[in-house]
Amino acid sequence: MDSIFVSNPKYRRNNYPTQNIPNDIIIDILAELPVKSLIRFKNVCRSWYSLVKDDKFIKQHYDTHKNCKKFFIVSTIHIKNQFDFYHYTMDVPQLDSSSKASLIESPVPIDESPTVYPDIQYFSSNGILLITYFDDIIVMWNPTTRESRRIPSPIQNKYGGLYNFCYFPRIDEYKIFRLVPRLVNGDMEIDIFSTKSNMWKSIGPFPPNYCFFGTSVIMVDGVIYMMASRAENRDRVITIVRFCLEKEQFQDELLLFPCMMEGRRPMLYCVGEKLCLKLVDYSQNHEFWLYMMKTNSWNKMSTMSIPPNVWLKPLSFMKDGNLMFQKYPGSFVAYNSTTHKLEQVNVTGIETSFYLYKVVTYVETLSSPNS
Amino acid sequence: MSSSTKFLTLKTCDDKKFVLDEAIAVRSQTIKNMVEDDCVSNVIPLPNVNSKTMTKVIEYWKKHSEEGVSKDVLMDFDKAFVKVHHSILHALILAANFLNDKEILDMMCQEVADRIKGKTPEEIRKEFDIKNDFTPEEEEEIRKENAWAFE
Repeated sequence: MDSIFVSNPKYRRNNYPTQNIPNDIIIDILAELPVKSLIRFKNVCRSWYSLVKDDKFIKQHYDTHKNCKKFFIVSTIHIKNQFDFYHYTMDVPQLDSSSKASLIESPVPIDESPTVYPDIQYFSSNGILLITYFDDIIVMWNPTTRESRRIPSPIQNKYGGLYNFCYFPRIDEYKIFRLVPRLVNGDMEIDIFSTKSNMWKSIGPFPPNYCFFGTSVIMVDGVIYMMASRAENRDRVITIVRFCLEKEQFQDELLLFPCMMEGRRPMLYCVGEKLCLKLVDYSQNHEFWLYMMKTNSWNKMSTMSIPPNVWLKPLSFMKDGNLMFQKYPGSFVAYNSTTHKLEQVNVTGIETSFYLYKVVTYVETLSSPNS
Repeated sequence: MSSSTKFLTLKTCDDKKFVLDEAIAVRSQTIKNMVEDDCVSNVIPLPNVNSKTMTKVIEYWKKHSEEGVSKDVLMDFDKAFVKVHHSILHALILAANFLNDKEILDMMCQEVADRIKGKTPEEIRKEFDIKNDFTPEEEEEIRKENAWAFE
């Protein structure tokens, strides 16, 4: 259908409206910008300076960019009797394009001592990273604005904690979770730090009839998930213990199907805000299951046969919904559900001889760890 | 042309008239509300939009209302559509805002963001006609604190 353009030469003018773009549209435009531009534009004028620090704008900016995921990558190399650590950031890579990692300075001084492999843990929430270096140095850090906050060391007399953390928008604070063995008898205890009180407190022991046996604690949507076993009749039943970090209390355990477990090693991961369970049997068949919160059920994603010396850690979902993995020792692969094969994901900028120590997904944000 | 097709006449601020299929014109939430409230007797005045801008808007509406047009074609169309002088870009933003067409508004905002993201604060002030209300000392201090963002 064509429109009919009725021209009236008597009123022929060619001027554009000169009024300025309304403020709320300027704000919408600025919310589209990358963090680096906004930090630079703090210099434009006072009102832009205030806007970049405004909580409401920071949230709008986060919501606009929350699907543009980035990887924070830690890689190490062991040379001349010391561990060198390198930190990188890059856009989450895709199969159809290659991604370039750029080197970034760590906010945590790492003692590259030759004797012990350092216990460094990395987590991400709301665009902020939590980095724990043994139990001595704990830092919350925004890798985009490079703003950091030193967290006081936790309650001493216990060592070797497993950490995780989460931002809770409702109460506008971050809580750090720490699961740590008591020195006396090795029983697990839980400590929590909150950014509002700026203090650690002890919450109490791991539920007495359960035995924690994981190597990490997993955080999905504010809830901590931990692999555990408990005695039932004469058997040990493998299950998942849940702890709500906002309410600081344990929830009902999350049951696994008995058929899932037969002769398989379970590992828990958080992938794209979903709880993911990897099950590996003795012939190196890997199964990946996703937990569906809404229906309270487990869905099998994929089964794959992996060569014996390969180790896969699920990292994120690709655009097509398939899983991307960190493949030890040092590359990224994606599962192709049509060919049932693992395909190499091209990443440049990281030395291929390096060992990929840790990959964390985050979003570039203006959020301040100090607010 | 089917007899059930209804037409609307839009009149821009420079008194030019556009006769348009109502089904296309209601891409504008503002026009849609007027139609639904039954307050469109004959001519819809658009006092904030000039004819040159309206021609661009209608070009967009028609392309995006075509039947059987592929996603790739629309993507190419959009890419070409946003490649305009910045005065037209600003006019399109104001028009999309007045017409309440979120699709065009979002696309234009994204285009402005892409154009300004690499600029210096001085260039931004010029672009948006903003007065620098910092003292030279304040400006220097903020710049120093955020030196990495100027690299």
